[in-house]
Amino acid sequence: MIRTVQRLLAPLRTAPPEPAWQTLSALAAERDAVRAVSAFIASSGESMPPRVLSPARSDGLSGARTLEMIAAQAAFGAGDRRGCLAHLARVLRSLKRESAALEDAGRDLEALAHLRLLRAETMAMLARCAAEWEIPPGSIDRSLRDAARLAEEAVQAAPHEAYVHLMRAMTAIALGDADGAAARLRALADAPWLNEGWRESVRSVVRYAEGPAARVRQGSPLRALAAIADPAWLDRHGDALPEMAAELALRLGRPVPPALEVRIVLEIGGADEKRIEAAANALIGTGTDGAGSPSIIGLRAALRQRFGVILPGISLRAAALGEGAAVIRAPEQPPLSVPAEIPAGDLDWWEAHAAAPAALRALAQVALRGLDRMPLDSTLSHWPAALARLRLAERMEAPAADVQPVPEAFSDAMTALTIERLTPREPPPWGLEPDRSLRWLPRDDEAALAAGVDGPAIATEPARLRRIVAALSPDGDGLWPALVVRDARLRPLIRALLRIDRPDVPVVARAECGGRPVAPLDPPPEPVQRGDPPAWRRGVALPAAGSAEAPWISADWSLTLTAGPALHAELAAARNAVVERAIEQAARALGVGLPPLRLVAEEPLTPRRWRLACGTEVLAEAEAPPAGALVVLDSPERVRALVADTERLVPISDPRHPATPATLVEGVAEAALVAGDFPSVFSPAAWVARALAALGPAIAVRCLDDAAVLARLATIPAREATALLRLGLAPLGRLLRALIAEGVSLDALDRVALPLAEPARRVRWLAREGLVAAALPGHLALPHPGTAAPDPERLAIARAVLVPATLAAVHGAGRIGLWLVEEAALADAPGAGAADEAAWNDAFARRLDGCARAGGVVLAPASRRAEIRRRIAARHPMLQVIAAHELPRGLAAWVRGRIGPGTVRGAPS
Amino acid sequence: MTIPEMLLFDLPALRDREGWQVALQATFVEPAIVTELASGETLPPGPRANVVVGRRLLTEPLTLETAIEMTRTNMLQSVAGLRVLRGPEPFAFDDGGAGLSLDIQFPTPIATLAQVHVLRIDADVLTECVATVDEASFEDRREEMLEIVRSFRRRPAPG
Repeated sequence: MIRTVQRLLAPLRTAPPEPAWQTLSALAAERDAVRAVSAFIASSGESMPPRVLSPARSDGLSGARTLEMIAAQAAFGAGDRRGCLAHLARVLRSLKRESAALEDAGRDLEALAHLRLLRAETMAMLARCAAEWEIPPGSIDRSLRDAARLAEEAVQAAPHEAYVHLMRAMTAIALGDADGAAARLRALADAPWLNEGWRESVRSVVRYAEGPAARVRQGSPLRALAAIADPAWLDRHGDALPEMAAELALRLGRPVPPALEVRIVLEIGGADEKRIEAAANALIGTGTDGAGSPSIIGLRAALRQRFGVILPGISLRAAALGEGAAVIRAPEQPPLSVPAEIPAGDLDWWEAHAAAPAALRALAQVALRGLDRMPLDSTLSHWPAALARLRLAERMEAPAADVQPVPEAFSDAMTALTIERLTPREPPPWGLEPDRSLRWLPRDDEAALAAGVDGPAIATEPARLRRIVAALSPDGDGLWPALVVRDARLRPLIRALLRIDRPDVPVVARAECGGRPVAPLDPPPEPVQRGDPPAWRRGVALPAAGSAEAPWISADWSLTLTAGPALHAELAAARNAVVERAIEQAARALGVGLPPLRLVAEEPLTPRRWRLACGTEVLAEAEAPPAGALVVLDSPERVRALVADTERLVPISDPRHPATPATLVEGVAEAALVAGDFPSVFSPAAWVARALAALGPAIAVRCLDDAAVLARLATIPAREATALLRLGLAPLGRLLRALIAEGVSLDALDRVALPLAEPARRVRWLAREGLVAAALPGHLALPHPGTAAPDPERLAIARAVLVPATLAAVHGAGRIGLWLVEEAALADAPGAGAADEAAWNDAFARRLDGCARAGGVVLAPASRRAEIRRRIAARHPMLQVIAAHELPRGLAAWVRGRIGPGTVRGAPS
Repeated sequence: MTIPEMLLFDLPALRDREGWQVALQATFVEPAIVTELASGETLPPGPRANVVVGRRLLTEPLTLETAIEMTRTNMLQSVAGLRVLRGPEPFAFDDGGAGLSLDIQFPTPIATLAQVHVLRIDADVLTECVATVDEASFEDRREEMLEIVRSFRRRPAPG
């Protein structure tokens, strides 16, 4: 970034070159005029008055003056105000004395003319110093008045001296008149009497005067950067402007302006660039403007004062528009043309709104519509910041500081705000002002939207939204509408849907309206035929073989994700790491390594189909939802608005319903934008990623070959690794795969090594009773059928250690909710391979939907644990089924559900 | 499942105060089943299902629709995170009485709970039956709870 800024700054550094001030100062102090002049010419040669430097009259007096002037120049360059002014004062006094002597001696006209030139040059430099340092020239010599006049007098006295012209220009720039300076120098650059060396110097200063560096001196770096002669310059440098402004300000010793990101573009029309620039300057205002000033700076102060936000940077640009016309473009808003129609009362909070020009009023309106996107003026922690964003979206002020204590009862900011708004207050919230026309959202529309809440997302057809929007116009009395919804919890969601098309329309809940009459929306939107969104398969069909008995591919287990062309493009997007991340997370949760994922495009697949294969075995194949399948999310802006307005879409991202399909966004970029804060907002690619994460155990089972087992052993201490290897690589691999297939993490593999390696000493296998008596703390007997699975005793021992560790890692300090499956619940279960087994299993697994939603664990009789796990694996692949002895000690647990005998709904009778 | 006579006989009474209103509330709670493991450890039960029946005299005429809307609004205003799952919808009691039901859920520090609120009005008495269960088992137990509520009947007059 620094390099970029430096590169961008390079063209700004067009100020006259600076000589080696210290060397000059030293030479002048040594009274070595010849070397000082030589050094000055070598290092600069063009900023010094030529007359002073001329050796033609190098008598003692002029030689001393030359040294004084060089010393003054050196002091100026070094910022030594006192020294510079002292030198100049001495030169002036010297010139005055010599002029008086000459006049007394008989009026040597040539010499007097020369002295007048010298005086003009000295005055010109003094004027510049006075302007730069903001000191009155009269403090040097009472005959001298203000700097501008002094520079002007110097030019009048020596109209053909380029140096005094340049000094006058620098004086003007220092006084904030860069435009005037540039204009006069442009004329001078064409003067026939100017030699080429000076002409180039003049042009250099013209460039400097026209550049932002000179304009920084006008008082506000932002103003300077925005108001330069060539508005296209802003386009070229874009977002680097704030950094550049900051650096320029630092170089000039000015306060660093706030680093504002340029987010709003104000295009101004006009007959020519001069008029456009004049209009821009008038809009910007001055650095001293307060909230009461009708300027951008005033508006910024007012927004900060009223709402606690900072208006972002505004790029002012010339546009091919008529005189007085303007267009404002802001992110996530439709462009606003000036003059704009602004609802009465919307700008009442800004005292200067009546005096503001139309473009500024429109800008204020745009600011209101984007309040919640603006940086906050205060630093807030997460919860208050979320609340602040919601409040700003409703044009309520952001809290100035963290609200303490945070009400614990409010599970989320949206609920907190909803409850707050239900309390009547003065002044009434936006939308409930007396001059608003309250209109009902048609009942069928609200019902349709509310229905979406229980589905994949709050969803509506664009056509429905368009009808609602079209009906929202001022009523017969010219009153602007506010939309009224019956369900207070729907209010922010509906506001989010509307805000892209109609950011000016507030949405209020019926409960907030008090007794005010509400009129129907006229004409009411016609009912819309509700239909299913474009068909796509929800969920992923897990392969039936999700267990240790599944074929194990040892030859080539590289993972390949094959996708149709459209989906492949999204998955391959540079910013999309969501799939890889999902695989990584699954691997971490299981405590194993997984191979990298290869992404392959395949034309024969339909555009949005994907297939995951491990080696040659296809693990899953499904259709990704089409982008925008949930049609309400028809634009990234709407998605962002929806997410930002509600922070977390309660019905959609309910953590108790992790299986609920979440909001789909238009593309990968939008998902990346919101995924960090809103993990339930998915792009189609993220949808695939989630499906892959659910396949984690199935993938891991197939990928854990001998090499992977050895690689895993290499990560644990040598003693434990050696102990495990004594089991034999093949049996060990079978054991680990059996564990992973049931979602048991191998993260604590080292803890199980010694009990596994020496079962004879630690475990007593009671073959006759089918029991294992282990010396593991707290567990006396491990009932186990001990028939089907390989190495049953070792599997039982490993589970006794690893399952509690897995549960402890997942649940931490929380309480484990248990769903107790009684043995009687399996009384009518069909046998393995029976025709109705799949249907019975599915119906049985559905009884555990609540457990899966709540993140619970199934507690099964030890002798039926594996069977129950097998029966529910297709529907709940990640649900842990444990026996009582596998409960982690020290973790709180309670029974939240019981699955007892009874007809399994949906099962064949 | 009726209210024990002992409770009814000993209904608390206070000295008369003009203008005070009286409401009655009865709570029916399912038994706590403590699960004992083979190891001797016990597991406490989750949230216990319960039905609360509240009755009060109406001081002014009220329709069922208005009453259930008031209930809903009050809850939305006072319960954080409350979500309406279903309703209001008609509800038929076993004794022929008509009511309106409303399903809601809301988070609590220990678990998310689901409730069915059923209101009925008999003459000038408003009865509200509230069945509460753990949300995770709501789908399975809703019908069981409704069956209990449906069986509500007024106590026969003495004699």
